[in-house]
Amino acid sequence: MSTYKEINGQKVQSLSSDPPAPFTGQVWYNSTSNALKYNAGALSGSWATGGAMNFARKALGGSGTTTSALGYGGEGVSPSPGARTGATESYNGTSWTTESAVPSIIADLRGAGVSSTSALTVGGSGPSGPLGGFTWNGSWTSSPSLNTGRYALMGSGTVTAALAAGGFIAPTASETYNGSAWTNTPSLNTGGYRIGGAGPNTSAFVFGGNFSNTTEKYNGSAWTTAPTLNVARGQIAGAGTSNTSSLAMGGSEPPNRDTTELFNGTAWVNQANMIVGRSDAAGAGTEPSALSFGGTGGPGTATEEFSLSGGVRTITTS
Amino acid sequence: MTKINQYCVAENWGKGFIEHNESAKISFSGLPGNVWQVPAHNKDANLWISKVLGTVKTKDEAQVIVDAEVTASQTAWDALSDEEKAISSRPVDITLED
Repeated sequence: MSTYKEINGQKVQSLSSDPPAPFTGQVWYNSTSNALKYNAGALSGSWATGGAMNFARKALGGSGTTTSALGYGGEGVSPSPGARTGATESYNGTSWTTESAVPSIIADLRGAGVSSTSALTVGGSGPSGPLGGFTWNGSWTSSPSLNTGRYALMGSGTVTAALAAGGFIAPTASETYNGSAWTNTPSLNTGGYRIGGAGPNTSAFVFGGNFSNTTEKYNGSAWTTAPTLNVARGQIAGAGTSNTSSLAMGGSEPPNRDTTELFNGTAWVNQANMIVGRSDAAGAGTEPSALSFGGTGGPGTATEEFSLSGGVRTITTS
Repeated sequence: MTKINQYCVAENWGKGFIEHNESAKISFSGLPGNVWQVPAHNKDANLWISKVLGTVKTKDEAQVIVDAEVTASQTAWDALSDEEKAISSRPVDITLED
């Protein structure tokens, strides 16, 4: 069997960190993360339609991945405009299946969770104002309320490590959840409502809101101002894995925007536009493989799937 | 003037309606009323319209459909409470281009 050096003329370098500017095709071993990596070229994203939801809605919560997601609550759009709902649906990468509803109708919420069997509602409003939380593990149970009840906020993380930031009418409020209680954290610097965001509660991003282009990063202890979006907007859906890698999908300026922006660790870079400009949709997944579903601007049942090729990739053998 | 865009009406059935390899080749813009804007004089766009059994519309015909949907959305927004208006956007008019 040929060696890499025999094929490529040089050995694979062992480096303690990823090279700052690898050339396309470069392969290296990261001795810190014990990972074999390569540069697959310039980042390039594309959108495709996904399975249609059963209940057309906006301002819903969403979480999970592109092949195991959950959508819950929200406010109906055509053909049932204005009807707030607790409707819950799970997505398997192809189609949505109706699940048992959130115990209360709830809209303008966000969500945390890693799959279609593990989710947490974050904020939201019911018929009488801000609501307490609910946790999903195949059925819904009540969970503690935010310390500052609010809605139209950002939510992310997991059911045992979640983040809630911004929202109406406490735009700089920030709290983390440990599976049993919400704890106040230092406030956002600017914050906002109708705000987007993503990431775990130790490395998160919020972006836009109030038709602004401001963004902020959270490192688990403080919020700091981060590079601005290229297009100012609110009601953005978010996906991402950390405060160095995040995806901002759609939103409203108004009008509804199809703008997609990727944070690459340094700046926001425009990606392929969404198929339908929309706002108030839910987001799920990671920046290389994300979902946006529901919202206004198109059919409220619509799902779109984002796929990113190129960039630094890890080689796996299993 | 040479047309840049063409329009069709087709119902988005979800998975497979627009694939990644299609959106990589064609610029899609989904509009209210199941109206789709794709490039004119484009083989890939024409193939996609055939695939989805799209009904081709002139720009003016498509504009009428979009206007009706936007007007309905604006009427619904106007009926919202002030609190609800504070966290949502009033739909704006959309003008289609050749």
